Amino acid sequence: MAVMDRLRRVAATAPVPVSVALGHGADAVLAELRADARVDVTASPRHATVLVVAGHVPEAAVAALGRVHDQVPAPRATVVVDGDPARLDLPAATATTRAALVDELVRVHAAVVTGQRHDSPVGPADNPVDWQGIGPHGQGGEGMMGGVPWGRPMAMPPTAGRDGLALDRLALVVGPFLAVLPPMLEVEVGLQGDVLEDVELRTVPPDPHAPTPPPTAVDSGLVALAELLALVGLGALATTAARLARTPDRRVEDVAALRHRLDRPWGLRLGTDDLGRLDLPGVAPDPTDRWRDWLASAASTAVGDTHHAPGPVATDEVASQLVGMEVGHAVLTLVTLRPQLAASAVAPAVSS
Amino acid sequence: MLGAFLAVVVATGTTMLLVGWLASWGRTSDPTEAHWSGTLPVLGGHVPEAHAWNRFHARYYPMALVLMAFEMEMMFMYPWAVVFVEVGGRALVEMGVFLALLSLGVLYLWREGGLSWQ
Repeated sequence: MAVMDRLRRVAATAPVPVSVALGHGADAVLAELRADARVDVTASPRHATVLVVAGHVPEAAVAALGRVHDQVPAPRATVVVDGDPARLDLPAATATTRAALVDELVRVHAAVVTGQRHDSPVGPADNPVDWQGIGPHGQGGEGMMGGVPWGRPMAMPPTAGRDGLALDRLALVVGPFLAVLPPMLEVEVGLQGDVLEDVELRTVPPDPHAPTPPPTAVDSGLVALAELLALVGLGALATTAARLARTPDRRVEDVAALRHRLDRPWGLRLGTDDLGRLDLPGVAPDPTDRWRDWLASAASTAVGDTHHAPGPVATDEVASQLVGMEVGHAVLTLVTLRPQLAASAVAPAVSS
Repeated sequence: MLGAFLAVVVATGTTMLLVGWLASWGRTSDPTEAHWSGTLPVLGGHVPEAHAWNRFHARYYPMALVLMAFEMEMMFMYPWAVVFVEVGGRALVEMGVFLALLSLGVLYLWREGGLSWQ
């Protein structure tokens, strides 16, 4: 047991694997976590030990938050930043402030790893819907199709062939806490293979009497850049971008140095050039131009210019242009629209 | 003889004890639990509306077709060349039938756009 205790103590010194459930106005917390070497922000709750809930989570998203909470593998813990765990139906969660967050995460992680803490699941232990299929191998009806086993229908029959192949349409709703998507965005999508057949974008608006988030000096464009870099697997550069984002008196030379590293043919441009082009008013058509705009804005605020927050985009217009894209391009498009979509979630735009 | 038998019995017994101990140790020290809400696919908070058991697009299929159509035929043509020297015209007809069947695959690949450079 002494060996196990020693191993647990060593494990407790590792970076804390954290999954972040973002509500409205939580960019500052996200930048704080990405910038700190003691924290490892994971791509999904399955890879995390601690769930961080940041920003204002509307009442309509509380049930979804509970499901994300249960998807963090046991033993787990939850930390709520500047919020009330009881309102979020997470009674076992620890409440903390943004200033004390990372220290609290390290402490909570050590408690989980050494077996002193485990937050119980909040969702049902068993499937609330009974098995309704008739086949012996999971199928619902005749052959592989039909029926509603475990309360869910099997894939729909093909609506149209693609490349001469009969494919089934897979319908999904993702969000509002999917790590790669902008916060509080729900995407209802019908997939034909890996191509988006139909798309609907919805944002979960803040509650009517939600408290106004305190103003922060965090640059939302650089936070979006950090998320984009993390998405394409450039974790060290994502940390650099997040550190710049949370630094109030960032130097223009540092922003220029980051741009120099990213804006070359074999840099980030390799993953964004000409992918997910859009034709929307007020939005650069190419994803590369969108992240160049973020860096240009950060450079101008570094020399003292006033920051102009991007306005909202009409989500239905974005959705109509996502139809026909492959999944990867659509995700890239949404990630590069993060500041605009975050603005739309708070104050929706009217489509032209 | 008896010694060899004893060695097998001891090895089997030791293995069974070790596996039994490991299984019971795993069960008592495993903190994970089979909780339905934690087993759902990660969709960011939503429950899947349909089962994901369906026909996806296998993107590698044109590559597999190219391999079948061109690589496999060459694999058979080398030994056929040896046989052709001995058998003659009949082997030529047989290979003609084989290539005709394979060319159907090439025609299908052409229709699917697998031969166009992207």
